[in-house]
Amino acid sequence: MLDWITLTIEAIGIAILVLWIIVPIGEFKSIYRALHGHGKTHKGGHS
Amino acid sequence: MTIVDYSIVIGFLLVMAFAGLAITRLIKTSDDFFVAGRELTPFVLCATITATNLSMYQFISIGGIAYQSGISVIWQNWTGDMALVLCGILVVPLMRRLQVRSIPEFLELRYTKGLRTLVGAFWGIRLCIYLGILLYIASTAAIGVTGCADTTQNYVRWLAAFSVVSIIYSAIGGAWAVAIMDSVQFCIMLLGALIVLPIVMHAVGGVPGIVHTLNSTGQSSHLSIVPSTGEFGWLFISAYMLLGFKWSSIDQSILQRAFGAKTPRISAKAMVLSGIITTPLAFFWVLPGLAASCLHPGFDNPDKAVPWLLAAEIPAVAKGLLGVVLCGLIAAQISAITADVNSVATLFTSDVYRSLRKRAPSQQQLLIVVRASSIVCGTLMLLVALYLRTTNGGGLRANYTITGILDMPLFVVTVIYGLLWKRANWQGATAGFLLGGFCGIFTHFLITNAYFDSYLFPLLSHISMPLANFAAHINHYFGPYQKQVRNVVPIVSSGAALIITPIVSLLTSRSSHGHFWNALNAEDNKEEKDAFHVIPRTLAGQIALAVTLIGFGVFVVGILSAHWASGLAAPMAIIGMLSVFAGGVVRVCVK
Repeated sequence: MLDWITLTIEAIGIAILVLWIIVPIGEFKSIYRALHGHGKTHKGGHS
Repeated sequence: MTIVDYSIVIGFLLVMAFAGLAITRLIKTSDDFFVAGRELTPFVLCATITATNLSMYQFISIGGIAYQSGISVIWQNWTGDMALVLCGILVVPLMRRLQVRSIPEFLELRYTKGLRTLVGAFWGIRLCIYLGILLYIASTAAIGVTGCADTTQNYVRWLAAFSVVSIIYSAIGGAWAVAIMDSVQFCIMLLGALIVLPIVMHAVGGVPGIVHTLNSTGQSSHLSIVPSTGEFGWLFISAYMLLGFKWSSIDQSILQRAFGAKTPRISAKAMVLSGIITTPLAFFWVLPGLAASCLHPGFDNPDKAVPWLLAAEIPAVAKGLLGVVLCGLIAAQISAITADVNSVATLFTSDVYRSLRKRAPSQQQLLIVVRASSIVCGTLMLLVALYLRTTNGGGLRANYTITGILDMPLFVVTVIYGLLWKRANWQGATAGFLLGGFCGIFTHFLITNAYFDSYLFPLLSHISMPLANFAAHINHYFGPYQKQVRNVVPIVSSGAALIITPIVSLLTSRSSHGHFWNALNAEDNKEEKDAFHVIPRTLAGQIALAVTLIGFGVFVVGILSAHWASGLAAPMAIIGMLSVFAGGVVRVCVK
């Protein structure tokens, strides 16, 4: 049996994992649309 | 390790290599390679910053220190997390607004081109050595986890496994490959950690089992979160807080990811988010270290504790599970290596190659140079990793000391005087950087008895005997701090830079950098739709900033109170840290 501290840490870890699987997929889709759907613009550096 | 485990690892490496190569088509210009076209969004950016930050070093070496010295080493991560939040809302949005790609580029804008080339070359070499260290730790740990013979042949095989894939896709895919693959690797790394924790905690009887065993075996000091004495006590936490500020505000591999943000506000959000999510994750490497100290105390080399624990506990649960865990460790390592390879290539191409050329190079030329520099950097890191094997890790300790000495003066001239004091000029910044580093090295030799007796005292004797005797007196006085030298030296080198830079600046001519200060002002930038003001314009933003800063103050008071063995040290430090996080979250969400 695991204690509540370990279970809490594990639950937080699982929540972060799930969040970071779901949200970046949507963000990557929007980046892809920005790059290919509306033409790419570049903001150059200083030098 | 079984054939199933090996198959999983080889399959994982192949998938990583091919997926990284597939991203090549996103690279059209050098900015795509350097900063992913500045198109990155908060969660992607957070994942890539976190994956860059975490490597096998956390899982193996910090876990090993927890094994040897206790839970207080967790502050090495937590101070860095707080620094990420504070620099995320106070420093990085300003730098992102300047649209620079590196700190040396910032130094040219703020001071002079010469300082850019000097720091760019210094940082490039330093990162190559650091990459070699990462490879050394990873390959040594992989031998321990897999249980294969500790021969040079096996070491070279693991070096190849770690480096070939990462060099290929960082050289070809650049920052886009690093950002996208880091997001994937972050999840794989986390999956590995999620598998390990319940298994090892079950083996040791959970947190109550650890507490009971450590108390009954006379290791109760392992459970002190903010110790008043010892190598990982309050002085260690204070020194790491300073190093954390340095790391999160001027470290090329972290900043280059943040510079890939679409807007300054997104860079702030990503850094705050990364600091917060890494905080609970620190338990994933500290608790296994503590569990190993209960199950198998007595390893001479603490870096062997966690690999032993994994090899002993994981295979018994299911076939192939060790392979998945190893993939997690490899993912952590590859993401850190690729980010640094990308940073070195950027530093060399953007700060050294461009500065030395009289005519501006074409995009095609830049892409060729940046890819060639990635491969040269990869080769250099392999050579360093091979050398470290011959020194049995001695070079590793030397590098940590050197970076602790030289990075803090750079932080002072870049962030403190670079952003906060207009009168600072390039003469002051160069003197502060070089002399601050010199003072750090001098202090290191002065406090460490072996170095003092062998090198410093004979050298000073040649110059002046009264001076040598005076130094001997100081060496005797600071003798008790010898074990703390790595904590004392960054404080000295940053203190020296803090004093030297303004003195030299005031003694030399005033320099004007009006365009630099104008660019820092968000209101002047018409393209800035989602402006992020360091001093908030709304009441909610001001309250959030106040909570953050007061929280940091509470943390500092808590840590310093540990010097007097105060029982409130740990609660105050933790409450202060949580306040920093709470204030930081609100701050990035409101104007």
